[in-house]
Amino acid sequence: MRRLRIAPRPDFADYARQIGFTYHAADGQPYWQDEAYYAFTLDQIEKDLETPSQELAALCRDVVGRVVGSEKDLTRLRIPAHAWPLILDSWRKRQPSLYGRFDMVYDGHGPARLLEYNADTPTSLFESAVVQWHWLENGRERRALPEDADQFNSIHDALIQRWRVVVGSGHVHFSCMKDMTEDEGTIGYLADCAAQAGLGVSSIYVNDIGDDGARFVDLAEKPIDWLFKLYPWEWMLADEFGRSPSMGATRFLEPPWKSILSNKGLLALLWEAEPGHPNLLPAYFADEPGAAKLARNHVRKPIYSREGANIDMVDRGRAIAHSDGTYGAEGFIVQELAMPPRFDGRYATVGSWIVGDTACGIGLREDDTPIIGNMSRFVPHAIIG
Amino acid sequence: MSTNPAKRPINLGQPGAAKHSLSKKPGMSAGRKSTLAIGLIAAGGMSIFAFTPREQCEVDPATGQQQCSSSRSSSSGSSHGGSSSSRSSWGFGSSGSDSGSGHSTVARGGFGSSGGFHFSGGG
Repeated sequence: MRRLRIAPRPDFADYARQIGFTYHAADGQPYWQDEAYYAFTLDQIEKDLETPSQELAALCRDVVGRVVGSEKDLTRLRIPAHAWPLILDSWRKRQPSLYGRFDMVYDGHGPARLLEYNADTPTSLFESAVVQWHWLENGRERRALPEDADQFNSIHDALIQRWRVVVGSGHVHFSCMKDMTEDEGTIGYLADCAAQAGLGVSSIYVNDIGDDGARFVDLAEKPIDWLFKLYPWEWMLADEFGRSPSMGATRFLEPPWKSILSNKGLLALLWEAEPGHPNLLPAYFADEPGAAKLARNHVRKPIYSREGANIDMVDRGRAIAHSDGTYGAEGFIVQELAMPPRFDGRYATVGSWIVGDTACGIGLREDDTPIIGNMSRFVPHAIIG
Repeated sequence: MSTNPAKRPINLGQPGAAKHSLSKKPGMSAGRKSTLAIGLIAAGGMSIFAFTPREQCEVDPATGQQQCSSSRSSSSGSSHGGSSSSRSSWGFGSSGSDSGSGHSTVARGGFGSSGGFHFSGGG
């Protein structure tokens, strides 16, 4: 695993505009890095990232199967009791998942370790699936990359196929919050994939969704049969409509059982199930006795959080990093500190994509701090040699 | 480099394909290009992100093609299709104000309140 320089594309801004990659820069800072990439060997991809991701996905499903009927564990996860039947029902019916992203710390040597699982509302999808692939093709064409350079990336094709499996035929509504450019881009891309799978698609802001008392409807009062929501389950369940009878009449993506996996408490449950697993880090609920084992060396994370918010890192008893945010009311977990590797002074984290049950690609993000957040930068990758 | 094709999991949903053939896979380039094409059509030639809120697409059962409409692109020649073709409220007014006949009993705004406290729904 190396970070290599590459000549940036002089027409990148035009290209980005043409394909609708509207958030390639934010607040005057580039989000997409066009002048560098990470090079992996095929062995690193296959043995250290793809295979562990596949295994972690299976472990996660095992955890759901064990936890979904346990009031004790659902309580530990701070999932509200009114949602338990919905979650259990979705699991018993084996309602399928679309996608997720494991964030891992990996330096090219030894096992990748799971930092967290974005199982419900992962973003950086379009840049991983399409922009990154275009970058590879362009790099080969202009000979900035070796002719046989490759990439771990079948995300786009897997998504289209997955839509066929999950929905088959019908219409899917896509939803996110207003004025969130990246979120709109993500649902736009996913809708595009669904359309390519032959599905009808439309979009609606989450706060425009209607409830007629029996089912959720769009602005034309057309029933919402399938709802892809880039809006976290914990928020859905806390909102007024989260207790509506209509919750049982709409099929959601991600399905309700994913609320168990998108919860940072998952990290503690995984460690309970598989202590010593090479791809896991010791983790405990912060208010449980095991947390004391990590008192001097840990990362504290809110049970519910997004975008690297409200993280505290402690190294040998000393606070080394902190991020602000609006999360933490439900409590925290602590996870053994595993510093992301630094390349050219930047911390790098690997995001490993799961579509359905299959590991199918990666994307890397960099930051000046060891906490990957919403201002971190995306860097493409290639398999070289 | 693994020489065992069965061990090659990568690239475009075609495990087992030899590395040197990747750039020649018809399924690969066709898939990528169609992503752009559909987006461009739906957005009136402006962006891949056709499906910003208040836009819709349906499969035309006669042609199998996606037909898209939106408040931005409905005048560009794209047509409505499918079950929602009779009426489109997308693009008119804001939250709930344009729904139904004016006697709607539909409640709105019951999702989204939690999101107002946070930066983004994704992560």
